[in-house]
Amino acid sequence: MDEMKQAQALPFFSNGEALPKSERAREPGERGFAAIIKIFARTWPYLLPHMIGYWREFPLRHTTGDSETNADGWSFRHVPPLVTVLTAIGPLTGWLPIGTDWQHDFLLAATILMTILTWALLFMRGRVYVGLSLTLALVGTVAFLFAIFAVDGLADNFQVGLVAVGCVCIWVLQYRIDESPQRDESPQLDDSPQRPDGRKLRLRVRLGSHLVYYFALVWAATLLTMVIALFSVDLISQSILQAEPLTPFLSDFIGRPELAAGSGTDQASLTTEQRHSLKWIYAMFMVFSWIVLLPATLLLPYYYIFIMQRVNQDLRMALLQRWHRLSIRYHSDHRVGDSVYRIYQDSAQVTAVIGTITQAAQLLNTYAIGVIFLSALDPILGTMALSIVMLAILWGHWYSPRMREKSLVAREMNSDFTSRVQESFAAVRIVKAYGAGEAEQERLAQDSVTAFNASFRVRSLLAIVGIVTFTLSAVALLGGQLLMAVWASGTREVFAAVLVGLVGLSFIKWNLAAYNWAQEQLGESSVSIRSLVTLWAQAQDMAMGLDRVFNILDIEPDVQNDPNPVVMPPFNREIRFSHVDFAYEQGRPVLHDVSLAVEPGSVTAIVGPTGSGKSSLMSLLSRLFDPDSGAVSIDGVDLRRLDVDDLRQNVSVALQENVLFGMSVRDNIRYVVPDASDDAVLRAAHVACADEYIAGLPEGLDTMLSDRGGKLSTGQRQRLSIARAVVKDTPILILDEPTAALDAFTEHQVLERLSAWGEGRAIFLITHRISTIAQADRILYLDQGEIVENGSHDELMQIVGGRYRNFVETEARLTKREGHDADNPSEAPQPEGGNE
Amino acid sequence: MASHEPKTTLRDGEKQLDRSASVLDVQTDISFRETIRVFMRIISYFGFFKARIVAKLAFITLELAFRLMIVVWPAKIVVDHVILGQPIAEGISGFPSYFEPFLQFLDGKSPLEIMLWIVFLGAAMVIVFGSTVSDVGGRSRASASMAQGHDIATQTENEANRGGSQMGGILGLIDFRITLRLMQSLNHLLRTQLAAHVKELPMTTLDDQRIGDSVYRVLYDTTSASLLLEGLTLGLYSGILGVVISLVMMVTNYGNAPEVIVIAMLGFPVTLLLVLPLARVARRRSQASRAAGSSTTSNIEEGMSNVLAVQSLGGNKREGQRFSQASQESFKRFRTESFVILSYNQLYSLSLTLGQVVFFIVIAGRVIDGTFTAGDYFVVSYYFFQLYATFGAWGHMYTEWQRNIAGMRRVFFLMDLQTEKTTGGVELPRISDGIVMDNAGLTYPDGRVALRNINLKAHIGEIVAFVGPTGAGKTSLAYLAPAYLQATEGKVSIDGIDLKDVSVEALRDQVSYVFQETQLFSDSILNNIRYGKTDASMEEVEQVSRVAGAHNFIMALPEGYATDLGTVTSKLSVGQKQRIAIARGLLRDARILILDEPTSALDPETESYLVDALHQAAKDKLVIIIAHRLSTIASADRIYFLQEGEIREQGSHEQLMAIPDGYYRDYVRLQAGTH
Repeated sequence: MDEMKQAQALPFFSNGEALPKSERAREPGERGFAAIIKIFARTWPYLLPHMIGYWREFPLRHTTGDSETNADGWSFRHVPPLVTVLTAIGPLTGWLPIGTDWQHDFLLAATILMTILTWALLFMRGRVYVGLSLTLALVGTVAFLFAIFAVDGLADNFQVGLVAVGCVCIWVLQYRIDESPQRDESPQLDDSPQRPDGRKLRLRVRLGSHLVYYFALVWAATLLTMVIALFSVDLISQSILQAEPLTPFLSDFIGRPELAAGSGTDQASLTTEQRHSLKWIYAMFMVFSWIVLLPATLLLPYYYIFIMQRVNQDLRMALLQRWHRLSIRYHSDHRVGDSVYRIYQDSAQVTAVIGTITQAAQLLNTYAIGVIFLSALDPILGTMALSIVMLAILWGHWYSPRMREKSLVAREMNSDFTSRVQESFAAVRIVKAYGAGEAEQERLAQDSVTAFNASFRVRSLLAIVGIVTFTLSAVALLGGQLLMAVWASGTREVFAAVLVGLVGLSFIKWNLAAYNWAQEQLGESSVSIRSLVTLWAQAQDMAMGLDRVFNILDIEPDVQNDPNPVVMPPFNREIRFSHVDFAYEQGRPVLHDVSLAVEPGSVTAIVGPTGSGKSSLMSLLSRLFDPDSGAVSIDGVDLRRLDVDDLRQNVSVALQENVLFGMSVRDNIRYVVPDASDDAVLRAAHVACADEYIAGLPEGLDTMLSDRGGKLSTGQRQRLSIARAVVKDTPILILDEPTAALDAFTEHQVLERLSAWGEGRAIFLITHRISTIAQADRILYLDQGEIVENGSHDELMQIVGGRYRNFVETEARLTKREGHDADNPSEAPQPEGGNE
Repeated sequence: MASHEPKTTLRDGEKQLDRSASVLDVQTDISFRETIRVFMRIISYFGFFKARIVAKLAFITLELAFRLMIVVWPAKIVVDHVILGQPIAEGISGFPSYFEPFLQFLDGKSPLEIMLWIVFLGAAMVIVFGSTVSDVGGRSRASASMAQGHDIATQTENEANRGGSQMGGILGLIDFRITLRLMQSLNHLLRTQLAAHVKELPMTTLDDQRIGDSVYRVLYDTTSASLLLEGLTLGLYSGILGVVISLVMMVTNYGNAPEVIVIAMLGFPVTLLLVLPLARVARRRSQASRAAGSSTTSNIEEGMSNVLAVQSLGGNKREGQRFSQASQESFKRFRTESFVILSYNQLYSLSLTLGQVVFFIVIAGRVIDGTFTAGDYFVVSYYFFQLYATFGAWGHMYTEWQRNIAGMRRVFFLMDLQTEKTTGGVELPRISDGIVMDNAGLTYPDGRVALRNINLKAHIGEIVAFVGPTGAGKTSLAYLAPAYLQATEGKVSIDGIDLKDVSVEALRDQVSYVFQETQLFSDSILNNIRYGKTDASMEEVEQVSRVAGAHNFIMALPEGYATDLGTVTSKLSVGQKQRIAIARGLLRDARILILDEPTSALDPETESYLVDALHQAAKDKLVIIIAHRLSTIASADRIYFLQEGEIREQGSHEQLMAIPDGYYRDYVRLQAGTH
């Protein structure tokens, strides 16, 4: 690779060569505002579990399923009386006295309303229940905030908090009384108090509502930060630097009441010594606040990562599980790198949804406040600030669809590049063998350039969105500045002069202070609009990522599970194919009108030319596909009525394309039965004739294999995959040419041991080797998807001009070709057939 | 995975992860000196991008100059001369000299006129620099960060494509694009270089290197370089410039308070001292996080590549568990890494708090004593924070680099693995004679002996067969010819030239190898067949396809040779794929053709046809066949019977069959089913 060439492969700052258009981006259909919101809404099921959490019973045990409050006799009937008592405590103890001032009355009214709501919740269901719950949460929050900020003293805070905690029990602490202990599924595990009348009280708590905890904590931390900041400003600017006495509250707080205004000495300003001592107090306060805020700044972000990773993990799992349920029809058209890309890059977008929504809400809030303030100064300014949003919407109309298209293209191109890298590594042997390294590398470099170009375009657009939005908002910013400066240089009165005066601000007329303040407001509202625009642009990209995830989740697997599956029968009568038709795609039938029946304890060989449908026939048995017509049944039960996983637990397959996983030999063998004992593993290895060479490996069963299994020869790998199938210990075993790379002796031995092992099982065998085929109880000769001959070796050899006989004879002729050994019968492949 | 273990320490778990990610790369810890070496090696790459880097530095300088020299002054004109209405002539001395012409131009104009000119200037600044004349919300910076997840893969991908400029407007856009292209270019260079290197690794190394790990390194570890580059240009250079300018301003305006500068400069050592112990921790946690990511990638890669096997085996659940574990593990490791980052953010904030405390005590003392005014306090603290933030940020950046160093170490590790000798070496003229092996032996790196005492001669025009039980070393022996494996003892030569001296590329141009396990590309059948000879004509392709018995079924496909083969699992049967692979091998105009078990999945008819074709081909080629099927090997000119890595017998079929109780004879008898 020419390094200099690759270093300059991307242009200095231009877009680079044109990109292939994305098929999907050109698809018509709704992709506007509503579509984005819809995609975001689809992430809800992945977020919800981390909001509602799960129930744990005392003693801690998982109970599944019921998020419904009243399901299964769980109840919160204890809450309303409790809350009633707690509410009554307020007036009784004087923490929340009646009739002192309107603030306390308001709080009392709020707690009473909360009590009423808890009673009401007892009798409500469904939407009304949810609505009332939200109302209760809202009332509680408002009351609590009001108690903290609008009412002095701590007693009221405590009282409101007490009632709120009582209410919260509705959702987090419930009980149930079991009438009859014998109905309990696991009484022995239960150490909950046994009542004298035989009834049992059980409690459960709701845990894991991480998102709720997180936002509550963030909120608390924000409050704390605000309080600390307020203290700092007061201390530094007023007292230390300008010698003003402290407020009584502050001086009490730092334990120096003598520094307060109006305290004893009634001093007008602080002395130098007092200021010096305050200086040290503030220094300590700074260190103290770092320590106090440490948990919030260190642990909260960590907690957020933790929650979002869980959300992401759920979505990743959903993707992976869907892929594993999709049939080969799907997989043959999809690249491995695409899966990697979707699992990593696309699914991760789910973690940003909540953050985006909360951030947008905050920004809108800031913006609205800014507009209101500006309108108070002058409606023209308010209109100007408001006009930014109009421009932003118009602008959004232009960039949103472009952003979406470019984002989708970028995702597709990067996904393609991922696939290219994966494929070129997977195919490295071929690349070496065909001296195609350079061509392959060129393709890879080309895909890399394309991917970077696609990323460049979408990122560039995002940067342009920011720049243009700034320019648009600058029109309002500069225009506002012009007006304000001119007003401030004159004597214009501000719009809501009376109101401004009332709040106690100094700018009833336009002056420097008004100018500075208004400019700040204007600036801030423009910043929030700009951030909103950027957020919206990013949301387009997020939505495209998520769309790619949901696209996969939307694909219905063509092998569908019966909603009420029958349990797999034990298999003691027969496996039956009746009139089975099957095609991978329309118009190319693979199997046609195949009927056969196989009993336990038999070995069936399936023979036929390449591409005659042997593997397809077998794939129907493990329901990799379902037949298009006709049916496959085990002991009379149609396979379609079985649960797919249940069925596959009962069918073992060893494939010709033997697959190894990057784990130890032991784990490779017990891949599907991870809890198999070493004994079982070794027995299976013995049946597969793999025990000897495994013993010869440097670390025996513990030898780590790489995913391409380079340490083992093909024959060794094949035996490993046979062992893997054997260790599953299933009534049905399919060997899809896994013996092709074995020498005749080994194959023979494998087959012998398999037959002994296979007592009572049905073994299917696909192979071309006649010595092996001849050992089978029955031979099916398949041609072009139809069973043309069916019988034992001897039977089929008697059919003159029969396909099987022809097949055997060709093989024999080939070995004896050119008369090499015509007179030496011993080496010629004259199995039993030759003696007919 | 670590979660299986009863109770392991964090470090044990990490080491285990390293092994599960790549058995080659287990010494992941690096010393300070090696860290520096990795760092310098990255810097050596910057040479490729001189023009881009110079342009980037120029933009940084331009922006800084603009910000410090121009942007603050129009606001002063607005306040002093528009709102407060002071005559310009009186205030001209308060402005830098380069502003004088503009002020003189404004002198005598009405406030409205002055304001209009200022707005005009502001508009120009918005368009060119993306900056207005006001402080709050008055500046924009071009950047393009997208939403990301909480894992290395998305974050590095995002960061490497972030671009970025300190400006907005037209200049900001240009700067942004140059920056983004610069970062992408470095990334592209490393990606292609690393990918090329991986493909040149010897087979034995590749056997140990999981694909997912290589993919991960190419895609997500290389981006570390871009981030280091960004740190060096944006972070360090603009930091130094910022410090110099702040210092100059500080000294000119508050030369009487040198302690401010001293305290601010303490920021660097204090931050460094606090975060230094974390450097190694950061590297290790980052490495673990990346190793876990590698494992997860390998996991997806295996599961998806083998989806047919997984489904056939009923392994869906198992594969789900495996992935779930790996993915959770990588999330956990990333979380741990994030915790380190969060901790050193806190340590940095501690250092800032400490600096602030000292600064506060000193300067507040001055204010209280009356040497400074309250107003001075705020101005000086502005400079203090500017300086401290920069100095402190360097200490912080040093630790941040450790994560990227950890990523780059992974890149360089793979890049430093010994490759095959692809270039250099002796050119190999068109092979005219054949292969000679002289006492050749092969021992794998892990000590297993694959071949010993191999003496063999094979000439152009012959068909040679390697026969023997599974695991006898047939494939290893065949691998010696195209030098997929290098003999560790003895000598392998072609036309008398030792293969150790031959350029691998030249050698492989003349050797075609058809592997036992078929690998096709997600491309059309046509392109798959002519993979090794891209300019082959349609007639040639059809002819070899006929020989390989592939033509008929290809023509039966709706799109014939143009059929796209799909990816993971093609719709073709194994036997059909094998025939395409054989056609591919036949088409290539090579002097030596090696077929490793070509006929195992072929029916007798096709096999017979193929064997005939091989005899045809052997007229001007050396054909080496590895096979179990008697029908394929019986007609070979010479048969080598291998067992346990040694040649036990050699000769023609008749010769070998004549040896009573010979290995081959026994073998054949078994094959024939007479035993």
